[in-house]
Amino acid sequence: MERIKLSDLAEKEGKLVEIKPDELMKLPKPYEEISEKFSELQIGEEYVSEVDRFVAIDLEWKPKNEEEEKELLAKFLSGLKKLLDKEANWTFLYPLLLSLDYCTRCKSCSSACHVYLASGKKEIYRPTFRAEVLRRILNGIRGNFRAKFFGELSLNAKVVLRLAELAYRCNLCRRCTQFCPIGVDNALITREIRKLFAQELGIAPKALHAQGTLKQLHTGSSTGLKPEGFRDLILFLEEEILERTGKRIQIPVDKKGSEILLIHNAGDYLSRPENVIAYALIFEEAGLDWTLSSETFGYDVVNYGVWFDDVQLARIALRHVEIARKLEVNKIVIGECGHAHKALIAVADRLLPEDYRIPRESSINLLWKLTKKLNLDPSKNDFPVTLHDPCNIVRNLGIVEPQRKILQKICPQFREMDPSGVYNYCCGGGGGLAIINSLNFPDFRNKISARLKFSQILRAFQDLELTQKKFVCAPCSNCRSTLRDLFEHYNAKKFGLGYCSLSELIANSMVEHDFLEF
Amino acid sequence: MLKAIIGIILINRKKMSLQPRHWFATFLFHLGIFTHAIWLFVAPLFPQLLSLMIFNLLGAFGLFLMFVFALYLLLRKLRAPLRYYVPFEDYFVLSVVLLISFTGIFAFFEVGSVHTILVMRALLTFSEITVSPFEKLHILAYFSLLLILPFTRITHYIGVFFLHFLLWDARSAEEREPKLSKILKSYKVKWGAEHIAPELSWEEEEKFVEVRKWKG
Repeated sequence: MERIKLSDLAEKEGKLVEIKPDELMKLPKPYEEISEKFSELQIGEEYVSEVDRFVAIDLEWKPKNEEEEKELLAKFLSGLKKLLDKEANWTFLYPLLLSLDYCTRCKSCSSACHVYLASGKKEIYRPTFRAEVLRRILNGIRGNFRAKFFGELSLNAKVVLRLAELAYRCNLCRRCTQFCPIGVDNALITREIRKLFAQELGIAPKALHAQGTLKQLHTGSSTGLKPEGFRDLILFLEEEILERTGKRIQIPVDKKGSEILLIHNAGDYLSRPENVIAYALIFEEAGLDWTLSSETFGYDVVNYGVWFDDVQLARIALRHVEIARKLEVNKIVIGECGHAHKALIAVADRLLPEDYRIPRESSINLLWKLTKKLNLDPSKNDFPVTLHDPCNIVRNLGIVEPQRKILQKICPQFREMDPSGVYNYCCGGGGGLAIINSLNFPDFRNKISARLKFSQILRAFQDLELTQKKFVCAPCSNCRSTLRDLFEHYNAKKFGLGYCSLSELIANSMVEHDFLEF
Repeated sequence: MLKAIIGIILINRKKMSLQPRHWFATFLFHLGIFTHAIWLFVAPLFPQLLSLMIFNLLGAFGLFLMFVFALYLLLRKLRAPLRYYVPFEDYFVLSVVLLISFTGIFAFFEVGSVHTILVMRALLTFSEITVSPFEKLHILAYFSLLLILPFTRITHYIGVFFLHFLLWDARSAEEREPKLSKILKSYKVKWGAEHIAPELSWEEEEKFVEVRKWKG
């Protein structure tokens, strides 16, 4: 097998590596015989397709002549300097430098990385590959001694283009960090690369930047949902509840002085309202003093800045806290959305001014407390259920036990995946990859980054009959949308695979009719 | 230190499962370093212990472990594809460690460990002593290690104890607060992309509302 060297990044013409479908990791029963094909979509010359066959950054940013090349390099170099600057990058400078300096190249991270394993151990997907590229480029500008002693890499436009594209082959799930003996954070390095391109050059996939964070900051939601539209949706949901359960519930909106402000991922209102309905049912049943917000920013908890941009991360988080302050609530409860958990619970305190502090709680925690009080009937959930652990909620925030205790209580046939808990694999859609659907990128997600998750799910249900109905519980709307695409791609419904949120399972065991739809 | 070693074994059982051979080698390598280092500082304080055969051999045993597994690590790093990722620094540091253990073992066979302790005492008290050729080399290698120490990743033996703190920023909000307010008010954002106003401070930037029309 041909080995890719770091210097190939600057020298090699054409694609760095040719990914062949038959080299990918094998899937277990009933997919062991499946013959995979990549999409035949022709990628134009204007896109950066020099890494592998996929393109994540759907911008035409390739330099056309030497002058543009020089300009790109100059911008990149000034970005590198800001990456090492105490003021411009005070947020992550310290962990970045430590991660760069202390890697001992033991390669534990490679064996932990689902993308590397699923791709058939392709060199460029190693967590250390892009980290090593950045490390050597930075050594080059950090002094002559450093460059010679710690290794350097010659810099040209090709390296810059390929590095940006490579940064979007990682899920930022931090499983590699979990396994690193000295805690080197390769996901953080990857995010720093993304940040460098986004904050200095304005280069990021459209789905994340132009149609993501920028759109959210201007319209209030990356889905484009407006306050009026949201209020209509709520009326529709109330009718939906009446139809499904026979209960007449008024969903509280903009109730000042409530105890709890619940913010969902706006995608849930549009593509999977069952989750929102389930929360309304549970909270009303438990008699909580809660509210939703219909103000701009108040109905969409997503914060794509977590994946690539510190400034926009802080801006959006601040707007969420502002909504809560305006409604005079006691705390924000974050719906089932992984990266929003990270943004509001783990990061916001470390980025926002002091008067923007407000207590936050994970909805999973709250659900656990509520299930102790509620009257639940486990026999309604008498089908096999396995639990997916969203990286941001489990590995990052350490919320591991609550969701397990809930499932053990309400699902008689609950079974763990292998591995589970903080060692679970990412769904393959983390780090923004779930929402990049342009060009041929879904191919990468469905066939490579989500491959290990799919095989893990199939292995968890290996002892059951193929057509039996079984569910994957994924308490994160990002993971759910990845699973939706994945199951559709492999036509997994045929084999009885479905997905649901934690709240839907609780609601299903609470109401008389069948709430859960397959 | 014992607690640290046991802790590392217990917590890292899962981590070991991915690269078991490498973990085994690095563990014994570090065990050799610890054994030798402890012996080197304990022996001059309690010279009467040297009459014990086991204690007498302990220093040389540590050196032996260091030598074997530093050699293993060096050879491992010479193989492809790892070779493409490893900088000159790694080979240099491992070579110095190899030199130390190699000369140390020879010095042990030359003059025995009792004499080494006498030399160690003389070094600590700045008194005169005659040393054998291999001891000279051994001491020289030691001092070269001390010299390069701050410039290489050998300093990870300090950093590893702050791992949790650095990875998860485990300070409480009260501890963070005074410094954070100062940073937000005084640090400039500086970044140059279109959606950022580079001359603002971080706090102003966070509250900044763009007036420019958004063009999807």
